[in-house]
Amino acid sequence: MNSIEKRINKNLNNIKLPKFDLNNLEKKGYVYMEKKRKLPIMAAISTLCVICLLFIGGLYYNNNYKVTSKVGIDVNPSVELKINQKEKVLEVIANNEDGKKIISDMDLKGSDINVAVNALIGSMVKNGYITELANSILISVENNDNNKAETLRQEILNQINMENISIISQTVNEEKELTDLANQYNISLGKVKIIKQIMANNNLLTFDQLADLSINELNLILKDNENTTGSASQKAYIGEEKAKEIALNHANVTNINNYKIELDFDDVMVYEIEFKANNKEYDYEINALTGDIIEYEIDNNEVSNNNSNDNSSNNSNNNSSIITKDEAKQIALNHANVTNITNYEIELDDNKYEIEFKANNKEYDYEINATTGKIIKYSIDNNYKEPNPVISKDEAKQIALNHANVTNITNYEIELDDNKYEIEFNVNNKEYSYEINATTGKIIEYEIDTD
Amino acid sequence: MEVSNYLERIAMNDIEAFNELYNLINNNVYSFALSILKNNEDALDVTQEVFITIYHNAFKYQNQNKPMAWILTITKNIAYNKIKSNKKTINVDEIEFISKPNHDDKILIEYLLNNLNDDERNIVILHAMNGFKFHEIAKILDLKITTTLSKYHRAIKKLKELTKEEKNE
Repeated sequence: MNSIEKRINKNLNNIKLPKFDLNNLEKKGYVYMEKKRKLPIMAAISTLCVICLLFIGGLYYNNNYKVTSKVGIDVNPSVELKINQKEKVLEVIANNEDGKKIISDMDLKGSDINVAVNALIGSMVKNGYITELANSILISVENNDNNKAETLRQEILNQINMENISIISQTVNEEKELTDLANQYNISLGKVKIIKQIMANNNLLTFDQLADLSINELNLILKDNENTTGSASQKAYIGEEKAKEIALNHANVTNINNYKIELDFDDVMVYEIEFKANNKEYDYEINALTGDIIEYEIDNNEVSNNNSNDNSSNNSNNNSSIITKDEAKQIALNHANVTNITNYEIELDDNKYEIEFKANNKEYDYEINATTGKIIKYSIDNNYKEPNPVISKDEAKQIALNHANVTNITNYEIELDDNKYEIEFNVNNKEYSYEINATTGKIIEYEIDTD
Repeated sequence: MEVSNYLERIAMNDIEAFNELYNLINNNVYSFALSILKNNEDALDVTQEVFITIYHNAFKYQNQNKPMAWILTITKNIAYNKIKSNKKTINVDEIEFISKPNHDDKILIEYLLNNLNDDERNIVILHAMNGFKFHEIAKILDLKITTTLSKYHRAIKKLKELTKEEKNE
């Protein structure tokens, strides 16, 4: 800093500013709220909102500026309301672009929380975010006192006046793990909590996959949640009847029993269908939007071990296998009607051959009885994609090192998984980990850990 | 204690931390608001709004490492919404000082506020008050680093010429 800047600094710091005491402001009334008040612009808002806003117009702003609770509303628009102990809105925050659109020029400050929630939901309906195809709303209430949060949750829920919608409501706390995820994925705390809940019930799903889903999709996956009212719309999908028809046509059966169908998520929304017919067990996974069969498995109910009741036989039943590995492979390939295969693996386990291979962008799994050569069960996954790493391992390494701005590294490891490179290395006592997209070379995620 | 520690405490509704932070950095916020608005009353209002915004939003600050840049960006946004007229000059007598500045200093502040253009004034004040790096200033003001640097040098040159003139008078 040069001498002139030192003088500027000295003089600007010499300016006397009024005392600012929040305790005092609280007693005197909240200046900020008063100044910020605007007249609502009614023309642009639906009748419902107009009615709500007329009420708001008559309400006095609240003396108490302290935020005691936060109420999050997620559809796709994500909005957060900060309210004081009298349940008046102090501030409305849009968490995303759609949220801004919803709030538009409504001035909800000073209004009762229930009025504000209904006004916002009304605006979401009017703007086409809540429709008969996607009718789910997530309401998340945050208060340091869990009992108060719970009371407020029930109160808001009781005041929502709309038919044919499904509301998931919950209370949330600002735990570090949740807020970190909310910041990282740029989603609301409430959505983070719902995703965590889904993951707890299904450990095959990842946060990454679920973060992109809409609240309606999450609601469908969540299934029997005690705090959900109404049911999430499935009207965007082909429907259970159509999905059943597709599976039965493919299996070429009509008389079935033990039928089960469930909407679930596996990279996309899918119908999972199970049934028995002709003494076989069928499993289908059908794309809920397109009706394409993603994966199916047919279990012929073949007994794998001739002596399954014979406890005296030792575990290595290799001796009893009559057919060879090559013969088993041929049986599988003939059945799949393919010749050019990749990623072939075979293993003999418990007197059955487990065979895996890939061909024509499909992934095949067979189990073949090692004594009889009969197919016990098989599954075909139509969704398999050849990994296509445009970036080489060396290039990926260089991208990571350049980003970290280091050259001398130790404990270097690289792995290609699901079209991304996972790279780890150490520099002195710092541990670096990178995830790099194998097609674009883009850094998906990185972390530097100092021990 | 660092500004980020204050923010952490404020996020937990610690009013004492809030008051301490206000006393620590209110002149930084006010000066930047004054730089943008060239009006004492409006700058005081903006300063108050900025701190209320900090109070309500401190919890959002987590995991960033430039608290002052965050606070001054809030200041900029609030101040920009307040610009009413393109008032050309400000009378330094409007501003209340703790101790009366000497003649030279008063001239310097007057010249700083009235004779530099908007970018020059904002850059010099952010640099003198907060010890920011130029790339940080460029980011807050949405300018290129090269533009920021050349404007800074031009502004300092102008101010130096003034102090010379003052001495020669």
